[in-house]
Amino acid sequence: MRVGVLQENLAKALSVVGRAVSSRSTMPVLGNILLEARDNQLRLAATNLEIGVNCWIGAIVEDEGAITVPARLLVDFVGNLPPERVDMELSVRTQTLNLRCLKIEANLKGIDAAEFPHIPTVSEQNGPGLMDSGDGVAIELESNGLRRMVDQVVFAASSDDSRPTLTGVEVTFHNSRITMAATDGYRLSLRSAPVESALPDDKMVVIVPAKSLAEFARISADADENQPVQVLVTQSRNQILFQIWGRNQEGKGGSFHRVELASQLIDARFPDYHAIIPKTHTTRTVVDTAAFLKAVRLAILFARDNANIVRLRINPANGAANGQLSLTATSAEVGDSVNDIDALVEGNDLEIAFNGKYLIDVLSQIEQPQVLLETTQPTRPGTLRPVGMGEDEFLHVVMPMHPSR
Amino acid sequence: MNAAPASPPKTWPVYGHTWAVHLLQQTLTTEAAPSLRRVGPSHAYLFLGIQQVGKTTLARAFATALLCTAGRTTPCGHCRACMLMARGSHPDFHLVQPTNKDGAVDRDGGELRAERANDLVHDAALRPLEGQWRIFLIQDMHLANASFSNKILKTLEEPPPQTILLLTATDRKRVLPTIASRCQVLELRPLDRPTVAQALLASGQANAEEADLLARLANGRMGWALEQAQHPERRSERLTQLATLRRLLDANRIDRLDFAASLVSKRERDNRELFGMLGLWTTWWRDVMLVQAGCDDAVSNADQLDELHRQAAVLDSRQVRAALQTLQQIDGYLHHTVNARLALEVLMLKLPKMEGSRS
Repeated sequence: MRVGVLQENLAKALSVVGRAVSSRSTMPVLGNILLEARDNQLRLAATNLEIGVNCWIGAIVEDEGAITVPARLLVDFVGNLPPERVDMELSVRTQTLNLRCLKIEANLKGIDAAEFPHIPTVSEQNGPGLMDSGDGVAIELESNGLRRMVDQVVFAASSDDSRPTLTGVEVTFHNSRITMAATDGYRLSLRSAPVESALPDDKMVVIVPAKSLAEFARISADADENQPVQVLVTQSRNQILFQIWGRNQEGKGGSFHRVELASQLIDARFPDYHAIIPKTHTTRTVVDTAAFLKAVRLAILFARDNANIVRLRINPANGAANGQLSLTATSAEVGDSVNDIDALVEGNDLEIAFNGKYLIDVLSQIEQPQVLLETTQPTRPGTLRPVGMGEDEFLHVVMPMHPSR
Repeated sequence: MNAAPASPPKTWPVYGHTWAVHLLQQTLTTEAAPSLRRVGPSHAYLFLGIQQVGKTTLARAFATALLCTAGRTTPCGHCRACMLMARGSHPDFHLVQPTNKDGAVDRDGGELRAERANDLVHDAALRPLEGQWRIFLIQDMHLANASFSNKILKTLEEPPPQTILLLTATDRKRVLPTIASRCQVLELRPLDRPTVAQALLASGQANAEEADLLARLANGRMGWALEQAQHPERRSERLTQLATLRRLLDANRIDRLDFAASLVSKRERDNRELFGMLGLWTTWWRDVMLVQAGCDDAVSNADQLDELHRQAAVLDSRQVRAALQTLQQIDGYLHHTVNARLALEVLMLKLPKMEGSRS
């Protein structure tokens, strides 16, 4: 293998695949990154057996070949190189990769590329192709919109492995719509959007690990917005694959041609969340999103030591006084804070307590200037959604807390 | 009842344990043997047997046979799956080993820790990447701490259909009953002497004489015998330890206590060697008793027959038995928290004295 690439592109590709490298060391080859030079492209690949990422960057290939080298070392080394051309050469006999950049030279000891697991790809070329198993479904989605959807949902997924189903996001393709739902048992985030491209006739539901979706969102920040993302799902192999096209431009920051992110699906049934979405409300509050977010951020400074409890006092307009939303947080040791924001309130007055962190998570994902809070009782869940989006487009349900008095 | 499937059982890379191999092979054939109620392998197997008897070797061979893409009941040895298994990097085969506090693998004093159980539960829920199965080999289940055992119970009882768990342990009593009851249990017996000797000869690492001696010393532990054959320096270590015993039998109390002190300082670095020596001495006293009973053929230390005869003649059988009992008692103490120095000093002082040999 003899190949030349730009340092910026290599560093970008390493940052794309780097997160998929396994941190557990039971299998040494999983701590490595695969480099494969072929067809004037360099493929970088990493997997932790749950997520596998392939990334192609432009390269000048003089000799084809492949090797795996330790990820940490390669990432740190390349990250510190000047933005120039990097030449790599593999000594097959010793399985050592020689890197040169200007006057810097290094030799990295690697592991034979044949030991690297096959990561599923779109086509047969580099291993088992996902579309070859027969029951695969391919869907094209707009890259930017998909990324926003993912961002608005993944944070609500559980990080506790004891309930594996909840560490995933339920993705449903049905009636020309894509719907994502995530919950950790205390809150639920639901997001839906129309899909322009063709969908399978039957309803298709998969549970994608939230980590994989977050990884997709991270990678697609560098994607070409004009090119759609291809999503491939095979239920027989229980896998999902995202194909993301890069900007492919010369210049600062580096770029990639194409990324394929393959992830295992969670093989379970997602809980029926429709049952916990409140059907009615007695108080409806409309507030400025930014002001609300700021108020919660202030309150949580005092709530941090007290289980993040932020009390919301909702007062409807009363004669001359405007409607108000008043946030209180108290901690026996730190002190307390109160802050009031103007609100449009319809319905009864109410006092309800929420976990401030949950409020920050959802409010910081809302782009619309105003947000709607619907509540019934202090012991019933509240719903939040941006003003201007339908209930079926974006909905967040959060359970109240019951602080002792 | 019909006969077993007609295909002759080909060999697995396992010495002995033919019944176990045959049983496992039956689960790999697609048409169910009438004696088995179900088709295909069970979700969990527990391999029991003394250390180095071949539990892991058998479990690995089973895993290879399951993952091999060419052979049906016997791994072919050249497909990608077999090659990866041989190099220990098959992505669908996970080895879980006891670790010490720093996370390094330690099969003597380590534990199977709760953190690993979390990873295992998570990984077991995933589908296989390349093969048909996802296989976990949990070594030394008897070293699992309680939270590890309890955390894997749910997975062990009902793993996803493509996940198979293989466990090894030395003794059923040292595994939680809730673990053992969720597995098919295969109790591996020590191999007989001719099997070990033939395997050693076949491996080409020992000549006939060495093979016979190692087979006698191995007590049916194939792994131990192979290890000794591969490391000739371990064999000279044995001779040194026997010579030490011989010297101590003649030595006075001061020398014996000095030796006990040196053992204590050595033990702090590596207690495996100490227990190895105590084990060797146990077989030695057993041999002396055998010679006294006239069973020369059954002795383990067959290369030391002259010395065995000499000691058998000088020592009283009661003395030998007392020495054996002391040795076992001290060995038991040393496995628990006692003052190691005191225990070893008692051992030294209670050794029989070869006064007769001076005359």
